[in-house]
Amino acid sequence: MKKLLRNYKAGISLLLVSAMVLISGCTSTAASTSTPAATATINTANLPLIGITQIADHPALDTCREGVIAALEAAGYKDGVNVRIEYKSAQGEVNNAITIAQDFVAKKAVVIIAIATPSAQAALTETKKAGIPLVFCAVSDPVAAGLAKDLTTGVTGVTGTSDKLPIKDQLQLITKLTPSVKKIGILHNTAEANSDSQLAEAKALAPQFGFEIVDKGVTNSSEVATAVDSLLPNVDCIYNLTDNLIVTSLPLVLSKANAANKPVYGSEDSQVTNGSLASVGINYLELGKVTGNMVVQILKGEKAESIKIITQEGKTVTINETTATKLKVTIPADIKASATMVK
Amino acid sequence: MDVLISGIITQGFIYGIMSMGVIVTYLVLDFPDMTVDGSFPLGAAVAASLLLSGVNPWLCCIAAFFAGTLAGTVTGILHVKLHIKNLLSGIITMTALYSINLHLTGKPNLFLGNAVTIFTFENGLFAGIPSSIATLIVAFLIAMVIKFALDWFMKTKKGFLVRTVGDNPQLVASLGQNIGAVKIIALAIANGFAALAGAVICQYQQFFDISMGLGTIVMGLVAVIIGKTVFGRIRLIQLSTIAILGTIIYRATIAIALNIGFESIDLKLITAVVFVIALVLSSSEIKESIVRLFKVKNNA
Repeated sequence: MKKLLRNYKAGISLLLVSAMVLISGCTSTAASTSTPAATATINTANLPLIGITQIADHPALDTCREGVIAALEAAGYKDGVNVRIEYKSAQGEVNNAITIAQDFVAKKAVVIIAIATPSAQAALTETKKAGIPLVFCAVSDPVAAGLAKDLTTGVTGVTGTSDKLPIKDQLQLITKLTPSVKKIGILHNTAEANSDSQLAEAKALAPQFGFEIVDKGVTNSSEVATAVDSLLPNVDCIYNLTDNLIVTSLPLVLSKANAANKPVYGSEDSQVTNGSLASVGINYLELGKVTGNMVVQILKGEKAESIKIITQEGKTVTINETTATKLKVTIPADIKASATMVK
Repeated sequence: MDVLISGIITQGFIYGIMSMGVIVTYLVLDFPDMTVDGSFPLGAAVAASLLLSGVNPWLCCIAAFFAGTLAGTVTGILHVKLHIKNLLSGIITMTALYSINLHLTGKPNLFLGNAVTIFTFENGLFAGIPSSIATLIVAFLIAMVIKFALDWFMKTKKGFLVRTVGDNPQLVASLGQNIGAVKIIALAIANGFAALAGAVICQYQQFFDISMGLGTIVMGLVAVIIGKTVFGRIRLIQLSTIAILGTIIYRATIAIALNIGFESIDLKLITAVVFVIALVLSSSEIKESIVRLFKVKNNA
């Protein structure tokens, strides 16, 4: 009986603790909006809140966020000085993305920045009700995602930036650098909406260049090795999209492709710095900065939906010289002149 | 009401439907059912694709429920008829469901747009009430319907058998009843609940994403154990009530962690810590069943 009682007490205390934290959490936000600044900490809490919600921690998405913050700072909005910038990642779980959005709305954020599709969609459901402007970043197909009416106009309260991979330019680069290539292998995660639309576009464009696209879908990182092994004998090169899963597994893809002496093309400059042969692609830092400037416009009083959605179609060619030498690829002079060369 | 608090409670009720399934399989039947990570998005996929083709949102929920029962039945057959270990049979179905869900929707992310959902209140019973409150009421009502249906079921002869299979399978066998059939029924119901929760959540968040099942069973298990720890000693409390209240506390914990400024990279760590605290505080019977769970894992 004693033990029973103790368990009961322990249970109740767990409940009480959670309730207390919840209540204190709420009152502190309530207090922060009503009481005038008395101490430095309250002062910071009184600053207008800019909420950044991101679906997962991932290099490209993190770079976007850095760009956003850099643009805000350049315009004079500094975290802890005249604004409060709060960053939350959903750790890959959509249910967390919803809670994050609700948290920002409850804290009366002046603007919410959402990086990647599911976070933007989760935020939209909440900002729509609360009338808080939403700026999305790195959403490849904002129309299909329900964030935009068309490619330049967001739905009410929404604007943002889209990253469109210049697939046509990339295919052109492949014909110039490695003219013998006929079959291009593309690895993609079947769960990523971005990869889905990029792959469809690559397949549609390939016949113009006389290419055949061979694609292999994977669902987690453990399947990448097998997928590369089965793909390599059937293709002349590999082309990586902005697929999060495949980009994370890039070292593996590269080592296998190098062993088979086949080039790997990328979709952003960091993939080339890490050893891919070349890319025509997106500069995520730049994309983040463009997004950040939109936030600045909103902070200055502009309506989100009146700011045009910008689709960044990167045209920067990046070539890795070391990889080119290894694969005995000669770089035509005209391309070399305009490209960024890395080693 | 504060958006965050009404959000926590709403999500608590919706995910609570899933937890009610987990409490049947895990606490009653002693079956850690991984199928849920697949049947939850299955329900969302069924509902999303039907909604977009103009089907009545309530019918979508019912269809999702039945799709879920089908998934649970498959796990049950794998376990009972093909003698595959409980944890593995759930993992197998969950894995297969990933492809099936993608086939159902055609792509990894679907936006429900302006499709009429169960949370569309423009003109109807709830016109004039703030939408967050109306949403909360609808979520509460669905959870209550499921709660009372489950309470009723557990009192029927079949429900009694489900309980007995968990406690004393020999007794069921000695009564001349088929243990396997009872397990399959329980799994079907539990996954029906998970799929229904998925269908409701996807209408609540207005989109389907293939990754939305991630972490569902963990949430269900933590919620059920928290619920059992905190409310389990209250006399005559229904298992269904424990599941719903546990889920609300779990969602509140996550929201608090986010609200008071924990680094979001610590979220999973916080989940793990809450899990451990609940387990340590909980009664010895749960301790035993968790030990059993890990034994199964190690053998598998």
